[in-house]
This record gives sequence, structure tokens and C-alpha cells, in this order.
Amino acid sequence: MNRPESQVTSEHLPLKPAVFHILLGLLEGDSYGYGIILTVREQSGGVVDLPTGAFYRHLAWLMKHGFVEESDARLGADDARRGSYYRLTDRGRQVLEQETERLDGVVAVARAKGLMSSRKSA
Amino acid sequence: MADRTYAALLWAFPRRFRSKFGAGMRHAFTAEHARARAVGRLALSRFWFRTIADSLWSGSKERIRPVHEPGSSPFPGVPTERWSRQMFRRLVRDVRIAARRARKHPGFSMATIVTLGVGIGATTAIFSVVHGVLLKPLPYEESEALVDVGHLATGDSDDLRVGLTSGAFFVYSQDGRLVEDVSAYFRFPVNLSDGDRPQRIAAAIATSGLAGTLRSTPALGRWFSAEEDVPGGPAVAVISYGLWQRLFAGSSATVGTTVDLNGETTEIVGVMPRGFRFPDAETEVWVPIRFDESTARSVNFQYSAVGRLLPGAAAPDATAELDNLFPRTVERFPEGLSADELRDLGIRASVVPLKEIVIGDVAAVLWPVMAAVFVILLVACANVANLFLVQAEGRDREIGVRLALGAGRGDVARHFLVESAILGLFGGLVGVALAYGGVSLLREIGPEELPRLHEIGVTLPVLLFAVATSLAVGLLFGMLPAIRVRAATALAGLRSGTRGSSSGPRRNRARNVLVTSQLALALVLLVGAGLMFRTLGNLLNVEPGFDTGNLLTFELAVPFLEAPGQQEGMEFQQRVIDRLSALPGVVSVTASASGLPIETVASRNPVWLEDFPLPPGELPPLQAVRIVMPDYFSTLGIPILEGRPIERRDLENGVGAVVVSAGFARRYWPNESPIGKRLQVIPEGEMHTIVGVAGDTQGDGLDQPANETVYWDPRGAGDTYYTNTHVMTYGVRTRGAPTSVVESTREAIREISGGVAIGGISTMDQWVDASVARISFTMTLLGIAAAMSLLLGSLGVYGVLAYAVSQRRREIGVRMALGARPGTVRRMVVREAGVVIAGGVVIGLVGAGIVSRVLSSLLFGVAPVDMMTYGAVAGLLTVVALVASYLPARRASAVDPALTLRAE
Repeated sequence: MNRPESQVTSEHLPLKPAVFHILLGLLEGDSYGYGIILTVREQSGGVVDLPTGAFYRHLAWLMKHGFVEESDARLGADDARRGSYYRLTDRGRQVLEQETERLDGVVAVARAKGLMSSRKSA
Repeated sequence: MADRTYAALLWAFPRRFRSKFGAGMRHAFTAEHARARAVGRLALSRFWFRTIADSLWSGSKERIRPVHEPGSSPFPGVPTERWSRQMFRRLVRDVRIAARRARKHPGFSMATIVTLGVGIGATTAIFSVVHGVLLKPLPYEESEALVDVGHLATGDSDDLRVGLTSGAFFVYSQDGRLVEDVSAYFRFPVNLSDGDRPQRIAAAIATSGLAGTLRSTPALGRWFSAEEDVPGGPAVAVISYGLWQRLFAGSSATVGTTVDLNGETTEIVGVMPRGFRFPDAETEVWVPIRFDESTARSVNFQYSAVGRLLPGAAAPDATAELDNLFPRTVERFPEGLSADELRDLGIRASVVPLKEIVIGDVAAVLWPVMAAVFVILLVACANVANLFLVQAEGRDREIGVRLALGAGRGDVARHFLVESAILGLFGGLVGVALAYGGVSLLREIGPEELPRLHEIGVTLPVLLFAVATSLAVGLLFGMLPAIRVRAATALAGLRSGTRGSSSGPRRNRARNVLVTSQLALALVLLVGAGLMFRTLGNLLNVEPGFDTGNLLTFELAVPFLEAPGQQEGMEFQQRVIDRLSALPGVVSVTASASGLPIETVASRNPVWLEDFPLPPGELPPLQAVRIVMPDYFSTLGIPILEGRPIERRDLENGVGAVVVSAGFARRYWPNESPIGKRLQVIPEGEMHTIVGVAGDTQGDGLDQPANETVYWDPRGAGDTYYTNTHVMTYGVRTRGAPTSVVESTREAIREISGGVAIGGISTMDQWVDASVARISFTMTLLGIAAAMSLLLGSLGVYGVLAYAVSQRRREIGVRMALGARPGTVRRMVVREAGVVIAGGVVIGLVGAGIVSRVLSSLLFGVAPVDMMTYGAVAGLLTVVALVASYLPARRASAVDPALTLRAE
């Protein structure tokens, strides 16, 4: 019942790339739906380009598991039509860290197998 | 607009999801939409595609497997399978379960599939007609740019479309800027002989640019050149693929051979590809028109013309441009009438898309019929939805068990959807099969005049339509029980499953609403069919003003080689008349250079009356004019009311006799006899004397007002420009069946001259049928639609009542145990049905009152809101529905109270 928090969050690994990017995007600060979509598009170099409906389903999933919650923060020039703002929770930060660690490990394995060096030599 | 579309798309998501995230989603949409629009059209359409796909996909995912709903994952912590794979596995399972159920309930499955099949089949069949006739582009390259170039003239009731003059052709094609490649043509039947018997063939004379305008090239040889299309040019012709096959067996040596065309040896220079049709499917020969610019004319608007709109130009702009050029046609080719005088006749240039001309007013028929069959589809859906609702209620226990065992509500709902989608697709299969049959039937019964009849077929877009329809329909009716499942709870299902309880009032209401709307829709269709039936009856009761029975009609063209002038042409025709009159079985024979009533609409010309002089520069009103040979009135059976008919001596002495119709006489000389009055048909021409008054005829068709007609003999009218004695329409009054003299008529004509062909052999009764073909076609289609919807509607009533009765066996048993008589029980059930039926009738009558306005252009002698039709139809529907409700009522009264109570 009272499992340590880290164990609970690690059940969700690996995170889907879209979910990972959404969490990353919220690391910079609270934002609203479309703002997050734009941040994700930018930080992934356009590789992760989320359609609105799919984005909000991911967001709903993140909220259900307590990784993201609604915030009452508002940017300076606020537009009421933007909808709610969202914030990364501590759980969210934790799962993001775990996923980053996991990815780190994966990248290290790839490096160890000479993936990047072989590309350099090519 | 875009925002509203997206708001509609958001309905794909469950309400809770929408209310939580809707605002943000709409904001994201608006921003992305603006971005995409700024980039360009391609980006915008990609954006829309993505948005629609995303909304439907994510929305339905959220509905089936909500991530938003807290705690929907029954065992948190168990790693979940990848969604897509899981989904596929479930789908396969659902399909298997659905198939098993369908096999276990063959009655239900068959009823569903057949009902849907009928609905989808009818819709698909009619859609293939709508697609073939109305939607599909004309079979020419870049056909959207093709326009018909002509003129409008103010007619009796509405504007008449007339063609253009040879002068207008030169002016428009040389000076017009917005319409390019103007080409003129004229339908012109020819006698064609390749040494054997001559045939009468539909042909067109055309300017050399026609093939280019249509962007068509001959499959073999070439089209005729501009050098050949000059006065005195060589005799050349292009023939159709069909004629090439028929006459030359598709021989490649055909180009360069010669045939005898109207007595002239003509070289075939080209064969058009298969499927080339212009101006209609009948035309099989094209020859140069050989306009002469030095003798071009500014009156006689007999030629048709096509052109191509310049890219970006619109038909109204081109109309305005050509109308400005119109006075120039009169200035360059003066002919007695000034531009102002032609303007007084209401003549003005007109450019309309060619497709509109080809289709004509058939859209007025097809759209109501399409709407009607769509209604059938709705009725069929309502029926199937009802079947499903009843099924779902019977399955409450099953659903309860499944929910109790841990199945998600989404699972059960999806299961219903899959089941209905499968039945829908099977219904679609049956529908396509029915559509194939239906389309060939429609081609069979479709009126000859229905344009593009042979372009109708079950084609790929039609099949796509059928598939889309059946899927949509399947999901539509699957939705209802699925929604009910969402509301169901395991406990309720289990509880109600323990007893044969009677169904709650809410469920009954849903079913009653469905049946009420079915009956209302059926009533609307019945009213439509009833109105068409009355129209047809009224039309057939119209007195045509002449005897249409036992009258053979055909067209005969005298070769110019045998009779070069108008006088010789007339004499030749008279010889044919005399010869045919002597045939056994023939009572009398006549001919007309302007067609017969109903068969041809009389041409309209200005008629100057001596008694009614006009100020100079003013034109008299147009009148229907027919140029007829002697014995015209006696042969057709038109009574001579006063004076005498046109006789043989009028042709011989050349004075020119005129007979007018009673209506014409009444209009100008209401209180005196018109005999002896004089009139003329060309300005400053010779005056001709009225010698008789004939009865009125329905010259323009049964649904048109009777013509005020002026009849002329060809000799008297011989000096006018619109007389052509070489082509005449014959009327042969026979003693027995008109067809019995066809062979002897052919034989007799061949004896007179080998070069004469007759064509268009028909009987006047067939012409009458053809003139009401549009009405009877509409009536047949609406009638079939109405019968089907009545059948489906009464099945609906029966189904609902039968189910209600079976649910209430216990209650009825108690009632009867307490002393209710079978008659009382029967009345009770029928009374309940009566409420539903009455509702359907009232709503249907109101609906019919609104919808029947669409048909008003087709109606004749009956108002869109016709009390008699409405009353009769409402009565019929009520009786049928009551009969349908009587059967379950009888079953209810047969309930054995002892048995039911013991079962408790």
C-alpha cells in the first residue's frame, strides 16, 4: 500500500516521447495548452508535433497520474481564451528525472557499442 | 465558420473531456488555423485533414477508453499493453462475438440486413442517377469552361432560349474576348446511303472549330479543316464510332471512302472516338456548316453555339460583353429589322454553362426523388434502431452479467457498435446488389428525354457512396443501444433480469418517437406520390384538341437533287401524300413543315394583322405558326369551326390561305368573324386572307396552355424565310393499329424515289406518353419509395407493439384474471397504437405541406396542399397502421391468465 513514491512513478516508464516532451516543456514554467504544444514542437525540432486532440489526451493522462496539475499562474498579457494553465507536480518532476536517467543509460549503452564513434569515422 | 466547424468536431469527445479542455483546444485550433492559412492553400487543407482525423480518432479513443475519467483503470500498476495492439485484439474478438450472435439470431440479422439493404439499395440507385446526370462533369476535357452561347427571347410565360444567327456567330467569335473558340452547330437529319438502302441519320452541321472547342480529336483520320468549311468547299464528313462499326464494321480503310449524303457524294475524313457525344448521343455524322460571311444574317436564331470561358471569366460577364456586341450583328448584317426592334422582342445575348443546358430542368425531378429515397433510408434506419433497442432491452441481463464480471462499459458499447457496423456493411452488400438491378431498371423506365441517361451506372463514386452510407448508417443505429449501455449499471441489469418486468416509460417513449417519425415520413412520401398520381391523371384527362389514336407519324426529307426549290419540295411531298393515301388501311394523310402538335412545339413568329396597324418600328407579338399541307385538320381530327380548311386548290393557285385557331380568333375579333381578315408574317410582305377557324390544340404539350395558332399553307408561306418544304412531319390516320402500315409506307416511298428516307417513326400515342414521361417517371419512383416506406413503417408499428405486448403479458394476464374481456384488451392495445399513429399522421401532414412545395413545378391542375390527396393518404396510412397493430392486439387477448399467473 505505502510503496515508496519512486517505485510508483517508475511503473510508468518508459514514457511515450510525446509525454516526455510535454513534461520537459513544463520544466521551463507553467504554461497553457497551446503554449506547451508550441514548446514541444520547438524543443523537438519539429519531430514531435502533437495534434490538439492527441495532446490533450496525453495531458489528461498526465493529470490523472498526478504528474501535472492545473495552476492559477497567468502570464503578463493573458488571454482568457487560452484555457487553463498547467504546472509540473513533484511527482511529475520525479518521473521526468527517472525517465531522463533511463534514457541516459540507454544512450550510454549505445555509445559503449560504438554507435556514435562509428558514425564519426564514416 | 472554421471555429464553428471545430466546435462541431469537438463533439467527438465525451462531454466531460470537452468541458474540461474545450476552451484550450479551441484556442489551439484558432491559432494553428491562422498559421496554416497564412502559409497557403496546401498547408490549410493538410491542416484540416489533420484536425479532422485527430478529432475523430482521439475523440473516439477517449470515448472508448477514457484516460480522463479518474480511476478507470481497474488494476492500477499493471503495465498496460500498447493501445493499438490491444485495440486490434479487441476488435477481432468483437467481430467474432458479433458473428456468433448474428448466427444465433437469424431472424433479427436477416430483418436488419434486408431492411438496410432496401434502404441503401434505393439510395444508391438514385444516387447513381443523380451522379450520372447532375454531378458528373460533361464528358469533354476541361468541361467546366464550356458554355452555351445563345440568346433569350421574351416568351408567352417565361423566357425562351433561342440560338444565334450566322451574323452573331461572326461578330461574337471575332470580337468577343471573354468567350474563346466559339463554334456554331445545327442539328440536321440527313439521308445517308452507302449504295444500299438509304438511312435517316441524326447529323450536325458545325463550324470547323467544334472539335477543338470540345478538345476532342478523331480516333481515326481528322476533323474537317477551316479550308473545307467555306461556301463551295469539298463534301466531307466525320462519323461516329457507332456508325463506323455499324456501316463499315470498324474497317481502318473507312477514312477516304465516300458515302451518299443527301444525294451528295461525300468523303469520310475522320471517325470520332467511342463515347464522343455532341450535341447528343444520337448524332452520328458531322459535316461543315459552310457559313458565308458575305451573306450572313442577323435574324433567324436557329444555330446553337458552344465556346470556352476565358480562365477567370464568369458567365454573366460574358453575357454582358456579348450583349453589348449584339447591335453590331444587325449593323454588319442588316436585314430589315433594327437592333432596337429586336430588343423590343426581348432578344438579348445569353451565355450559360453548357452543363446547365444539357441537364435542363431535370434537377427539379431528381432532387425530390433523391430526397425521397433518403427518407426511405432514414425510415429503414429507424426500423433497425428499433430492432436494436428491443434487442438491447432483451439483453439487459447479459449486459448486467458482463458488467458485473468486470467488463468495461466501453467494451460493451463498442461491442454493439461493431455488431451494428457489421450488419450495416452486410446491408450495404445487399444494397449494392439491389442498386445494380435498380439502375438497369431505371435505365429501362427512365424517360427518353432524361439527359445523359446512358451515362448512368454504378461507378466508383457511387460504390464509395454506398460503402460510406452503410458504415454511417451502421454506426448511427449502433449508437443508440451503445448510449443506453453507457447509462446501464450492473445491478440494474441483474435485477431486472430476474423478472419479466414491463419496460419503463422512457424506453417506450424512445420507440414511440421512432415509430411516429417513420409513419410521418411515410406519409410525406405517400403525399408526394399521390400528388404526382393526380397530376398524371389530370394531364391524361386534358383534351388535346385532336384525335391522338391510330395516328402514325414520321419525318421525311426530300433530297435537294430531286427537288431543288421550295415549290418542287412541296410538290414532291404532295406526291408522297397522294401515294400513301391510297394504301390499304390508311384513312388519310397529311404533312406539316413545322411538326405536329405535342410532337413538336410550334415555332413562334411575329404576325402583322391588317386590322391592327402598328406604329413604325414596333413589332407585333409572337404567335405559334404551323405550315401545313392540305387535309391537315381532317387527318388529325381538329374540328373546323367556321369557314373551310386549307385545301389542295390553295397550293395550286398560290394565293395563300390562312386558318387560325379559335383562341386566336377570340383574342383579336371577339365579336365578329375573322373570315376575310388579312395578315402577314414578314414586314411589308404580301397579305393573306383567313379562310377558316379551327379548334384549339395542346400544341406545346398537355401541361401547357392551348396554343393560339396561325396555320399557313406552304405555298402562301413559301416566300418567308422559315419555310422548308424539304423536311416535313407526316401524320397518317389509319383504320387499325398505326404500326401495321409501316412496312407498306416504306415500300410506297421507295417506289417514288430511292433516295428518300423516313425517320423517327412513331405513333401519336407514343408522343403523348413521352410528353408525360417526366411525370410518370417521378410518380413511379415516388410511388415505389412511398410503398417501401409504408411497408417499413407498418413493420415498425407491428414490431413495437408486438414487443410491448410480450413485455406486458403478466399485466394483461392479471387484467384478464380480474375479468377483462379479450375485446377490451384488444381495444386497449389498439388504442395505444392509435396515439402513435395519430401523432405520425399529424406530423406527416404538416411535413408534407412544407415539402410538397418542392414538387410544385411538376404539378398540374392540383395544388401542393390538396385536401383530397392529403385526406386519402392519411386514411390509407391509418388503416394500414391499424391493421399492423391489430395482430399484436389479438395475440394479447389470447393470453391465458392462468398460465401467466402460474409463471409468477
